[in-house]
Amino acid sequence: MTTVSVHDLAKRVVEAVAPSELASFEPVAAPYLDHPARAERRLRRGDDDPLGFGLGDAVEMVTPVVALVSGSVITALSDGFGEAVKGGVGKVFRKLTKRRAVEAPVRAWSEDELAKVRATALVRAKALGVREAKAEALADAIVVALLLERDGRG
Amino acid sequence: MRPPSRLEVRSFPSDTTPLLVLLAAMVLSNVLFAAIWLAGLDYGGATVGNVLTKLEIPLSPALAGWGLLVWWRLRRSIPLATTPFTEAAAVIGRLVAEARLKTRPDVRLGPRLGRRAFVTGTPGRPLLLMGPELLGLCTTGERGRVVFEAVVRHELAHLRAGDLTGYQVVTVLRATIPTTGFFVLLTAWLGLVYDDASAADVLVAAGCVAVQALIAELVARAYLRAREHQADLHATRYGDEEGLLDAIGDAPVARSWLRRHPGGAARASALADPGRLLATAPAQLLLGAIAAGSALITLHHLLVNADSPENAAVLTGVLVGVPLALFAAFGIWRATWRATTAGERPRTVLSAAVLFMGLVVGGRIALFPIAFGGKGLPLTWPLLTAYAVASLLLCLWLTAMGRAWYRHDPRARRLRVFLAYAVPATAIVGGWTFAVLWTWSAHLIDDPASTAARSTVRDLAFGVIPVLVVLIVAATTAGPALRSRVPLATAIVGALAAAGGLYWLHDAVTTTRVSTVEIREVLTATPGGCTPPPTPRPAPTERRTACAADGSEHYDLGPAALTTVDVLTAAAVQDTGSGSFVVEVTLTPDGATRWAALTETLVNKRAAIVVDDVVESAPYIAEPLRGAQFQISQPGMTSGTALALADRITGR
Repeated sequence: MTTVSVHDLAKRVVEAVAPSELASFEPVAAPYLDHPARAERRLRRGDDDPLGFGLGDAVEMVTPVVALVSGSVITALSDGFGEAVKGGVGKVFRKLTKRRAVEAPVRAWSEDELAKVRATALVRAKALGVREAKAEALADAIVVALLLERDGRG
Repeated sequence: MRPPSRLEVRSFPSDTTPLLVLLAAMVLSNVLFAAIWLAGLDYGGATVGNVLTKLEIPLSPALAGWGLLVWWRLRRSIPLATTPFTEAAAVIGRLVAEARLKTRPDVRLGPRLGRRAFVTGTPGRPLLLMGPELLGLCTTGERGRVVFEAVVRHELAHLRAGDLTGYQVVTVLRATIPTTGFFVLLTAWLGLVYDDASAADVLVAAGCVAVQALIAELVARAYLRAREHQADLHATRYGDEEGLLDAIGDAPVARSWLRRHPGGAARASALADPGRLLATAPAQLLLGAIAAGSALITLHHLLVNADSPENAAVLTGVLVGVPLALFAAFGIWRATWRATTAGERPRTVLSAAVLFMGLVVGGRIALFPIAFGGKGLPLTWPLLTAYAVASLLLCLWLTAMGRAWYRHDPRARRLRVFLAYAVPATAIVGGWTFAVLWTWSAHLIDDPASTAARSTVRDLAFGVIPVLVVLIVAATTAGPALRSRVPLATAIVGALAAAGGLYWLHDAVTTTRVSTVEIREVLTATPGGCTPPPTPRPAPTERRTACAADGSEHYDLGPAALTTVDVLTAAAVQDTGSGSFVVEVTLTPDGATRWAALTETLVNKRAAIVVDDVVESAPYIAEPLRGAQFQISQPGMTSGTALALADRITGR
């Protein structure tokens, strides 16, 4: 079965919404893909290092948010949007330990499923502090990226 | 382009440097106390070499901690040159070259640093660590590049200003408090288990450790916030201000006094109006005053074991008083310029209240003296009033001095001229003020019933130095105003004439009273009170009778072998063996010869030391005594009574 990974999905979305960040995608996204919970905590905590800069919120890269949103979307797809957990012990263990899925099977998603993907991405992006318009664009880009994966394009 | 600031902010002396000096005084006096205590437990006692060795114990964990932190950061980062961020590396290389640093930093990528960037390492090997998100900004377009350059310039400004050294010092200082605190709590615990200490004593000790740790942490954060503002100003001086404003944002932060960075809103307003940075927060003055109060107590307990009580008190007052006065002065002058420029009134009374409060609080939280059963600052009304009045007068004078110069130099263009005379003047007046106050406090700590305090304070408060202080206060306050009206030569001649006149007046009204000192052989000693009273003073060559100071004996004495002319000086000192106070008399060379001859003839007999017709001591001479010094000891002699007797002998 063909699968789509968080890494590939995030990269495809960055390519669509912020192509200028593609050059630094790998090192920037790596912490958010490897240890999303820890990296998110660090992202929310803000910067107050001694002799640091204390960078404000005005300027941010899109890549970290895309990586985190992509992770949530892949986990949701893998789990069937919170429906009964089926398909083995591994998934149950992952749910219990609150770990995220790293890939989801690619199939012909229904319109309803794609709408749920979009809603999940939108909620998650807004929770990460992304403004409404930008979050909408990001959610749309994720749906498009999934469709491109399904069609085997890109 | 930002319009030029009205005030030359960079001309003003930093108020964080004396704050660090006061923190260092508080922490290092604790470290020294711990080292002396540990050395005292060793075979051989607290010798200089032993104490120096023991200094490693409280200091080494802090230094090792700093080293480990740098090592850990190095381990978790990789050289930027080995990463895909080639363009960012090239930009940083250019900016480093522009900054003309003495030591080029090792620029590294911290893979988990996100959008953070900071400088670390040691002054000899600085590191600039940057996260991938920040480095990525360099290639995300024009706006990202501008922000990236602003951040790098800001970090390089930290290195250029030597902030790494300051931060290393402050980190080691605050990391030393837990180590010294451990020894304090250990002492308190041992007192609880083996001595008569109570659980409340342990709690008080723990509370003092916690408060000192908090003070150190708050000072460190205040220092860092001040340096961030300076780095911002430096970054805009050589780069694009818009990029910096973009990077810092404009969000205010909650509890800004707890953070290491000021909030975005505060940074943006400081960039728009750098004069805002001159307004020193009263909380910062409070921190410095608390550190000074604690250092006064600890330093006094250290010095009193090494020197005579009066010298220890004066030295303590000067050592802590000078940096404290300068700290207050820098804060007040900065605030005076800022407030006057903005059309506000300087908060002089508030500054004085904060200074007074800090000294009192600091005087009650000193670690080691409290752990060893010593006393904090005595809370008597006369003393507290003196501290309050002195704080107020000092702050009023500093404000008046600042305002007097402000009228001639409102933009602070010639502030160097002002500082050239105002700083030494503040050091003298502040050192003298705290020497007087602390001498009084020290006497009350050592012996609350002593009347010697009054005489010592009187000596300090009505001598030659006070005349100088009055002249300094008058000249620095009125000087700038008179400068344009009175020629300089006339002012100098007038000042010298005034000084001479005041000195003559002082000399005329103070009479020197020299006591009569004699050392005679005791021919007979009869127990009991002195009846009839001693005869009028006979000539030194004649025999005489005299009474013991406590009236327990009266003596028939032989002719005087030594007299006042043989005495060089006398001082109250603490006996290192018994811990009690004695008066140490130093003889002239002729006196020492006569003293040796007298004690040789008086072996197994008694000699009487007669001061103003009273036998202060009548010791048995067990063997001939050679040397120019001897000690007068009395049962229950305190520092106050020892000092009073020493003063009588030397005629003070």
